[in-house]
Amino acid sequence: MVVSASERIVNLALYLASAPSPVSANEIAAGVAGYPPDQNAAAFGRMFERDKDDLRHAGIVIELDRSGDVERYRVDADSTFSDAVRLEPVEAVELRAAAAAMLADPSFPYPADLRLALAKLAAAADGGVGTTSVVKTALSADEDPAIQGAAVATLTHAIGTRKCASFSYTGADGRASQRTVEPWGLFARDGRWYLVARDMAADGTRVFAVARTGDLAIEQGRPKTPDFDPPEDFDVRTWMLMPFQYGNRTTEATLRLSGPAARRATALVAGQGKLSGPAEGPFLWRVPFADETLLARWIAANGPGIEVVSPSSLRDTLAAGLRAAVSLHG
Amino acid sequence: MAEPSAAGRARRLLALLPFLSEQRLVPLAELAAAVGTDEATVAEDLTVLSLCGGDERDPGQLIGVYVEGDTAEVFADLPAMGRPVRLTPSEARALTVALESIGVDPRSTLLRHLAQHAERGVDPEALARTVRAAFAQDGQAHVIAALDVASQRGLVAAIRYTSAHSGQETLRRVHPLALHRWRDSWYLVADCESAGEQRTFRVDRITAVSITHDVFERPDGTVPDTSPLPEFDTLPRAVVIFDEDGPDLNDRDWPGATFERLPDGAVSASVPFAGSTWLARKVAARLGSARIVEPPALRAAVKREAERMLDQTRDAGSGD
Repeated sequence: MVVSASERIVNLALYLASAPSPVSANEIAAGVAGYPPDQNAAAFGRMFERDKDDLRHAGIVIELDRSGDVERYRVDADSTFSDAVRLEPVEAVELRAAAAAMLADPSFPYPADLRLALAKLAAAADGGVGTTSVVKTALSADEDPAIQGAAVATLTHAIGTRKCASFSYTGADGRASQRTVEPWGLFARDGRWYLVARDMAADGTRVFAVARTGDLAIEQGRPKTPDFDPPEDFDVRTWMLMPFQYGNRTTEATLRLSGPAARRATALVAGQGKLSGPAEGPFLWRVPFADETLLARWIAANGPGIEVVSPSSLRDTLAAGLRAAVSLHG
Repeated sequence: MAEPSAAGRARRLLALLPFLSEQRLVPLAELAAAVGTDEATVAEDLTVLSLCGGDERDPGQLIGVYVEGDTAEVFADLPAMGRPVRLTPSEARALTVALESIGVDPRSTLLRHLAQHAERGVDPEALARTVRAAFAQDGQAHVIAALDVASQRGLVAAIRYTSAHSGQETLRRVHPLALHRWRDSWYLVADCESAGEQRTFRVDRITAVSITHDVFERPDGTVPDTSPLPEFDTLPRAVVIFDEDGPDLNDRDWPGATFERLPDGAVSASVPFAGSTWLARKVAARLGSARIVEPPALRAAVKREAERMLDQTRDAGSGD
């Protein structure tokens, strides 16, 4: 009888998990359905290693016992199995809503992992996590959503394994070029995924819009050997800048958020700068900026309730621009 | 549903096992929902599982499951894989990114709690240092959860909402019908008792929500409109002249607009608009680098908006 690879992997998990004591490779070859009986030791070894890797990716950790004269294997139960999950009702609803949205979102990069994570939590949760939600549609990245999602999944793998990536890139000026990068991080903002990477030719850190990449390929040589080490203190959040923050020279502005702006301060500041003040507001927001005109435009677009405390030049830029707008429409 | 690799299918087969160990008769629909697939696929998976077992020399170790109609029957205890398996790092990342999308902070109690069920060393905060789907927004996840519960139970929700037009905060009783996400923002589609019609509310403008005991009736036969953009063909258009071209003069930043590059370097745009306030503010915020040519009413709206902002700027300056 022909046993499929997926059956063999399940058989291996069941065999190891139910074995009362660690088992040798010979016992596995003889006892697990799916390993061809006429297979030589080297071929079995390669197949077994691949199956162990696949089980590892499923969360099943195989431990090697070298205490005897023959190497033996067993499931590391503590590392593999989880206890019951107890979620507060509101936590379960939040989880359901988030999951429903992302599973409906064609740009979400990790649907298979999310489904399996939810299955594991549902199996572990007292009373289950539940599946119903009124969240029906989501589109986090609205340009070629499925293509962006797939590219982000590939790049996430490259980041995790520290392998270089190459792709064609069409810049904002419409010019195409070929890039090879060390991928360090990914973030989503305003309907687009972005890659933060060291551009090897430019020898500098760059931010690439994933939607503008094409022919994405990950370095395949020596798959288990990292190509690079990212900076130890790398945090992709420091690259999730607002439009007025991109530039080489930055200055700090202090803005006062009151009334309606205070009520939605967290959403407005988008994780940037420092927000201080009493719980109900008003707040002082100290935020670095590189482009004064773009910051002035942002203030005008997101008010009312946003006032410039400093620098005075920012207030002047805003006021002059608004006077110009009044004059143009008078 | 596309057939995954052998390893991918094996992951799903293994994920099914804990559900089979607990019940004797399990609806296929329940299993399909649990592992995120359809009933036909789960029926195939169970057939494959019925051929799996721990030791091929011992038929008694085969998984005792078979499919009868829309139900799976488990007729023997399962071997040792009946316990829930810990989340892998990639599964923990998927959960972290999904929860970030509703505003949950990677340092939150919920994600720390879930991380306890992941492989050792998995830290949502560390995962968020390399992949980040959204910035954390205090309270948004709770608002979404409350609206979700209210909608499912058919209960009226009382919301405190800050208007994008006036900045004024209003209390509204709404019948939540659907939630959806577009780009970075969440939206609630609800029948608003105050307005007497269906409205779409941006969730980050809802500063408080409470679920009342009042029941509402969901409109018969109507599907809430969760399309992120209006039908542009039905909207009036404004002509806007921009002094110079720029990377933000595109269909994403100006939905539905068409652009014509002029010989002097300026750009003429035809911009559809549903309400004048949105476009007036957007043009005023260009700070003199854009002007409405027509319609005249919109020109007046831009002037009023810019004057209002200017007054606020003067007030702020006089306070120094």
